[in-house]
Amino acid sequence: MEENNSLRYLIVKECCRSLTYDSLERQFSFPLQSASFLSQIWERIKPQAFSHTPSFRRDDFVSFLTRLDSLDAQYTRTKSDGIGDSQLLPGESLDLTMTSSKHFLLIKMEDGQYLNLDTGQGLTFGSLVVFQGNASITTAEGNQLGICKSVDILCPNEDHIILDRVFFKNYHRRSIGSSLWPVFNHALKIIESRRSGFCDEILDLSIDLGIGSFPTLRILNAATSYGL
Amino acid sequence: MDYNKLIRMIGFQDIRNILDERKKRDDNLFFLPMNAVAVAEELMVVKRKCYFGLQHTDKKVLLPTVFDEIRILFANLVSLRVKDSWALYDCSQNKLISDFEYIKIERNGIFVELSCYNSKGWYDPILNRYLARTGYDQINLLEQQTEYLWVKKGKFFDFIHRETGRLVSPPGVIMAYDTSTGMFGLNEHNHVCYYTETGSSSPDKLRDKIIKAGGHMTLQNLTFRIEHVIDVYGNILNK
Repeated sequence: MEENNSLRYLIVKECCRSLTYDSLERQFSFPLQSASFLSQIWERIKPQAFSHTPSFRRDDFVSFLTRLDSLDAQYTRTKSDGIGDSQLLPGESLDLTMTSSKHFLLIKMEDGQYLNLDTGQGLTFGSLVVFQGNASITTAEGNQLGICKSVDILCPNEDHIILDRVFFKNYHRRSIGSSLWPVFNHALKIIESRRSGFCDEILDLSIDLGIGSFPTLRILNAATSYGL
Repeated sequence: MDYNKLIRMIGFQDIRNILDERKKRDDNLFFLPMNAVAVAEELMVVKRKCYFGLQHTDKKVLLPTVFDEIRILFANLVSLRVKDSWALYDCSQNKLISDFEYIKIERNGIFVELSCYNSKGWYDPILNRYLARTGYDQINLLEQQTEYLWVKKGKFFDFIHRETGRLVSPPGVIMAYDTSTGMFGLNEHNHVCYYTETGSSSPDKLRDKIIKAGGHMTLQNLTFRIEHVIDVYGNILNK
């Protein structure tokens, strides 16, 4: 059942807490309120929900919450015939499938520099790199990652956009920053401090850099893998 | 003035017959004065008995007093009515731009708007050609600094290249934006696309434009009071 944007906005605003780091789980997320509180919220927003979408029911509410709970792992996949570094913006994510069947999930951090989303390691390919099928992917230091079989661009979905409207207000009014490493570095500091809690300063930093929840969450959770 | 030439241009026999009758009567009323009823752009609408004609302000007769109504739209363009039908006439070229096929012809902004029963067309008096002859409900009248004009029919939009008049009809465009160059439109899947001259969407060209704009782009449609901020994938970020 398709919710409209106003309804999604209402649910995210009521049910999600701001960007939080959980040091036990080693995870950054926009966590949901507690289960009992969510039940209260449903009772409270039911009339408003029905006014937006008359056929919206509790099951639909739960289904949407389940999606919100796994937002960091969600994306829309678009096949690419090949794309060069100069055609990518900082914050864009790629899934490189290699002929060895290995995958490299990368996010562009600045021109020529990428973050491996699985390991949290930085990779430098240089600004002339082109990611395409049948091409050998080699770092600037000469490390060969293998032969690329296919390239997919991983894009945010509508739930990310709603989350951005609630928590990353007007980030899109700014141009995307030339480097996103400050977000990664700040995440490392929070992880090293081993303190759980809200991360409003990262939200502010992302807004200043013109990026929303999709690249932010991916960079933050890559940082949790760094050094492991 | 070659009135006979004008008559020959009219495709509707009944209207030709009416004007022929009136012309014969008008010729016999040569002794009655013509009174000026409207003056604009060096043109003068005159009336004799109950019919209207057109003169230059120096009294040179351009059209005899045989029409039910004449309206001066632009310096050289007038609309002519016979019974319930309107036609567009260019005085400088001494020719009918359209036949008597419209129910209304009026000035709308910098264009002439020609209305049929269920659609409209527009004529550009500066470029002296049709922008769209018929088949649309609405045109971009508010923003004139765009490479392409959008036109709307029902739910969907097309684009007209201002300079050449070439029509581009991408499928399924439910909103068009006023942009200085290029054609940006919202498709039925709620994604903004950049369209090429063949009418197909080009994600690569959209990507180029958005990267040049710094990663996000603001698109407007002044007529519908729409402002959308989009990302490199064509997602609307502020809706």
